Amino acid sequence: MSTPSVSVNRVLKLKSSDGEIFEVKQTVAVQSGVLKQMMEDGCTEGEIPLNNVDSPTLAKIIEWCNKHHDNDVEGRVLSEEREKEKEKEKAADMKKWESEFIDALNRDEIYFLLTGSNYMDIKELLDCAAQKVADMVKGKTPEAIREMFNIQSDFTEEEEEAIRKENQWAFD
Amino acid sequence: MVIIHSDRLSNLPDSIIHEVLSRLDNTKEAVKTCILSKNWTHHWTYVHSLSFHYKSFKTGMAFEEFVLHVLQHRQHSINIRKLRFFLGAKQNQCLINGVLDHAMLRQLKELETDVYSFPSSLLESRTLQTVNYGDSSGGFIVRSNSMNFAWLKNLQLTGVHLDCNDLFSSCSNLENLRLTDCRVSNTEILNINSPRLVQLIITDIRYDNGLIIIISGPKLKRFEFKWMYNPSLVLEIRGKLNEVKLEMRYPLFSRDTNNGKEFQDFIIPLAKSVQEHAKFFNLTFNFYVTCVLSKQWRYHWTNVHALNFDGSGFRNQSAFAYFVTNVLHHRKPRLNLVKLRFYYGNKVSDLALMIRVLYYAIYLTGSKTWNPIWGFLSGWLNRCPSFISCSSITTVTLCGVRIFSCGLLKWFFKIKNLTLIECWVGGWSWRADTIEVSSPILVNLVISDLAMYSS
Repeated sequence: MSTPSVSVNRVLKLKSSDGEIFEVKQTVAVQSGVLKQMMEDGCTEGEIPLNNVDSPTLAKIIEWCNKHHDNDVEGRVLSEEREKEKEKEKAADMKKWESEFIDALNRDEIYFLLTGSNYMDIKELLDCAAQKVADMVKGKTPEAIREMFNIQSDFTEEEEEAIRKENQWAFD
Repeated sequence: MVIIHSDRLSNLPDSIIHEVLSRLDNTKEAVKTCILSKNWTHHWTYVHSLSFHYKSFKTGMAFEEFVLHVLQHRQHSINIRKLRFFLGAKQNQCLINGVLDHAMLRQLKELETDVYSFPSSLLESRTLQTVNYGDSSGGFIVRSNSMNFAWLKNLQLTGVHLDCNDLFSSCSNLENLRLTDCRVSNTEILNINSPRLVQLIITDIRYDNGLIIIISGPKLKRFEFKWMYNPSLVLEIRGKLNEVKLEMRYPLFSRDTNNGKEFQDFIIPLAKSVQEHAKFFNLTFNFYVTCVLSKQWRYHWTNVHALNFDGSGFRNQSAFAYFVTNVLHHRKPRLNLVKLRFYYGNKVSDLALMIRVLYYAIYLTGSKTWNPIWGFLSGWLNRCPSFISCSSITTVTLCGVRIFSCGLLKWFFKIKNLTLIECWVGGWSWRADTIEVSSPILVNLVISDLAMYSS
């Protein structure tokens, strides 16, 4: 996963929108497409401002990245035969950890995590959070979804009827 | 603390909303979001994954109209990553070709389907990587010609009737092959040899009289085979593999007294031959298979104090019921049962079997914990047999159970720990306003995500 320009011990300083500084190993930070690009371009000196990510969200994002990074390193140390077994266990453990991580968040936190991981381009985290929201939407009536996410319908009755008619196949 | 509700989901960047809608299991649900608000009328047209299942429509006509509507209105510039497309018995070839051609033109990567016939655009696609083919509901799809997926990497067949002995050799880029519940006919030899195949998993293969499975492949590293023991099946592994995993179920109560001997004659040479070909070899049985190890081992298994029944490991409902009934019959009577796990898996629930198992666990033995996960259980909880009330159960966990009665605990006099997870209260004619949870010696009560049932 690491690129030639990344050294194991170097850290990046990330600055959240509310001014808090977080230190992250370069080998961890490569999971973010944006930070990886910056490292490759050699412009990671000093603090890197992340204006769209607040500190609680950044802490969560770093927790995720650290967890997914640790996994990689431990895997490599093991001998070949143990590695296979371990990898399978690890994959199962990781799935469990991911679902616990996501389930522990409230809707606002998920919202910020989605926008944050989108901004930092961390694909796995974005996928995981998007799946969580999809699971929340699944099987609910439009009325229930509106209530859940506090979406105000701005249709008049006639307009809504027209839209329903246009997509009537979905509403049988 | 003041919680400010804002319109969070609508405020997400469009790309994330499209990602979320793409992840819904059913495209119908994505389309339904068009009436949430004006902002939402066109979000669904940007999804990158489509899922059409005939079962979510009342008529075949409604299904076809919906599919065409979606194809017509979606943003044609957006590529399709994943397509689920299930038509059941009513296969309209025009519709199939239309949908698959549309998807192929948009660089489809992953396909799940039960279509009887593949258009050539599918077989020749260079972007398609994964195909999940078959009918998971237990039916069979017959394939008599070979599958010439020139570029495909992953192929899974479920409930497919294989009518040809050499189906996969022309899949020259295939890396993973998984056969589940497939049936081989018109041939006694199934040859699996594909130049790039790395992993092969075969579960519960069926055949007419006898079957020889020959497995080879220059790149094959991993082979997993799960089956019900039958001496008419022969496995032949050629070449050097990294890992072989065999998991065998053994028909416990066969009338053939010679079976044990036959089994040993079968398994020992097999184990030897596999060991020669594989670096890592793993053979597992169910616990009761130990009865054939030696005379001394014959009855050891009848002393187990924990039972673990899982319907998903069985071919069908009756095989599962047969197995469960026999285990209960042969297990040492009056031996306390400490723990019982009983899952139907994906099998249809069988009320009589469940009552038999519970009766056994609770009345005849001293089962201390109870973990039913059956959604329908509550229908039965309502008229719970009296033996439950005098039982020694101390711990009950109910997950996803519909509760029809307000005095939930009136049968459990000795309950100490009760956990309700995602349970439903009320239903049919009865609406619950209050639910009473009380028991003389209740210590721990955990309730998580309790919901009202309204029809």
